[in-house]
Amino acid sequence: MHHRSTDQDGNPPEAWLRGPDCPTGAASSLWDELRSGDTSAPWLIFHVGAVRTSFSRGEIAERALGWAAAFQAAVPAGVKRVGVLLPNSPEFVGAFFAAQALGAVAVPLPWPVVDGAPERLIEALRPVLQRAKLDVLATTPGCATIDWGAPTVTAPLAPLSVPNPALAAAFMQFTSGSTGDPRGAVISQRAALGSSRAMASALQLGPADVGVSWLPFFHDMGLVGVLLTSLVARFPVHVLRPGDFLMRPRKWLDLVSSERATLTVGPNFAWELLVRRVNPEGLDLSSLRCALNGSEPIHRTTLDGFIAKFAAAGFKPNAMLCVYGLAEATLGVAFSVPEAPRPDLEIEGRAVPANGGVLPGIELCVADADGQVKREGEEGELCVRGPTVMDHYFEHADATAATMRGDWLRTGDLGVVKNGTVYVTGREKELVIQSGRKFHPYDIERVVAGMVETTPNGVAAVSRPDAAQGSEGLVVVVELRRVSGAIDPMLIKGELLKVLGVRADVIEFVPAGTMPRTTSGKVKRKAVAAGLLAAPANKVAS
Amino acid sequence: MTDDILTQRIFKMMAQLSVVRVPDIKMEHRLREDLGLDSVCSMELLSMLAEELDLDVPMEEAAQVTTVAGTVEMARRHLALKQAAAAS
Repeated sequence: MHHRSTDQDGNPPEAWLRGPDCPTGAASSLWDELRSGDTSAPWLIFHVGAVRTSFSRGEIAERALGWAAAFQAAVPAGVKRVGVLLPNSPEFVGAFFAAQALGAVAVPLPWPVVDGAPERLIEALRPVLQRAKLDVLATTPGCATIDWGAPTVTAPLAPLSVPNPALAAAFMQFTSGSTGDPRGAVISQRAALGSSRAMASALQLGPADVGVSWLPFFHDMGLVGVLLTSLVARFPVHVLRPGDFLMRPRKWLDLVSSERATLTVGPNFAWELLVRRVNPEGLDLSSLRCALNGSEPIHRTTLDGFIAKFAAAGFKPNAMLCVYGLAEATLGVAFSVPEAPRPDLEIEGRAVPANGGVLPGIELCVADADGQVKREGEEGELCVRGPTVMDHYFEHADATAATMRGDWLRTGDLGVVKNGTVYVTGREKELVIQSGRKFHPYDIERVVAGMVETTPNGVAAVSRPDAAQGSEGLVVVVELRRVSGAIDPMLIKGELLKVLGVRADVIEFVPAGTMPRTTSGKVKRKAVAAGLLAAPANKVAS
Repeated sequence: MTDDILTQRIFKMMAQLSVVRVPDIKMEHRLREDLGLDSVCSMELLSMLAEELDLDVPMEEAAQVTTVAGTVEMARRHLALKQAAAAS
């Protein structure tokens, strides 16, 4: 990253923010943090139907030791990487911390919302499993019948004591579930603890707080934002599974209301779902201090809709906090805080909600493609460095080289810095984010190209905002070799759901020669997306 | 509620969430491959259905439903359970 050579008077300052130092603590590993001090207070309270089961940190540590013994028995040569394929449950947390106890790297894997056959699950996960080189997989008995290429362990055995682990990587976060080219961000103990402590410090979280969360623990926001942040800040969390929330959206707010929760978290689509489906009658949301909205683009209409509808339930407008982070920075980069609301930024008639200031330990600048730092108010790629940035992508030098510029992480997100505030305005990186899940266009295009007779590189998958769902829609443009080659769009939609789990909203067929391309023949996805916003010309069928 | 009315109500709801029109929905259709519903959308369908018919469907059970016929069958079973509970 380079500064401007001369700084003329009258120009805005450089778009460069530095947070306070990353908070430190006595524990230097997640395993130490789990067992430090009085470990008997309730930490995680799991709600399954009407049944609630409470676990203290001490009880989780005991479970972890049980899992650790089982892992060691399964892999006597030594466990280096542990896959965790489990729903939100004491088992997930136990297996995650068992890896910590052994000084191994935990690899959380996406557990599906809708039950499918285990064969289908492994098919979707195969690329990740191959890249991650797991020594052992912790999963349910139903999934253990499959050949995963590593021993599976399904139940904790007798407890044992293990030596204090070496301070190494804590976990590896795969940023997209089923892609042909998976990337596992390697997160160190220091980064895991630092990121959690920074978020706890920015939001002033402590033992008096109460959390409610349905986010999956395998997802960065559920794992770091909820599980590890509550671990370092020592507050209890009521845990639901994603399916519980989707099946009964009100259950989320019922728990906030009955447990007098102060903190809860969700992607934009989830807040939108509450606005659409839940009646505020009988709810008391006055205890909520931090209602975090993050992990996918935030819509001003969702924020306003939620604040207006749930004012009747005592919800405080200042509690709705827009946050920005990514798995490659462990999690948090910029956070809004209740005490310091910041104004929206108007860009081309669009209101971009403020993501707040940078977290402790984070240094952020806005730069152009050559690493030249922009000025305040100018749009560019958000770049981040600090102790919470990942070490590298596991065994993926190309991806690491493309993402890291020295010690700076290129986030792939576009944004603006103004008055010490970060605004995320768009995305340089071509991802499609649906309901907080990330999909790579390349994977979508590969599936479609396998079904239709297209021109070479003739498929473009691009996202477009979907205000009704509060999320992103997916448009797939297919350039046909022959105009008569169009097939039923439902066949393509069904295949995409089956193979990747992504929902395509529009399949558009265009004649050969109409797809915007670079000189080397690659599809220009941005030009395709821009074209969709204008009049859809040359349409064959949709 | 007769089976026909129930089925039509469910089809209507499916048509709202998916791109398929009511006359084109078939009992043997799969929610994902044929109606184009992703996991979040299909859970929302079952959730809206349970809410509209005032049924108490456990999440585990809803997560097993993958077809149009399965959806109708789930609704039918829970309506019968509700009627039995009301009668006793």
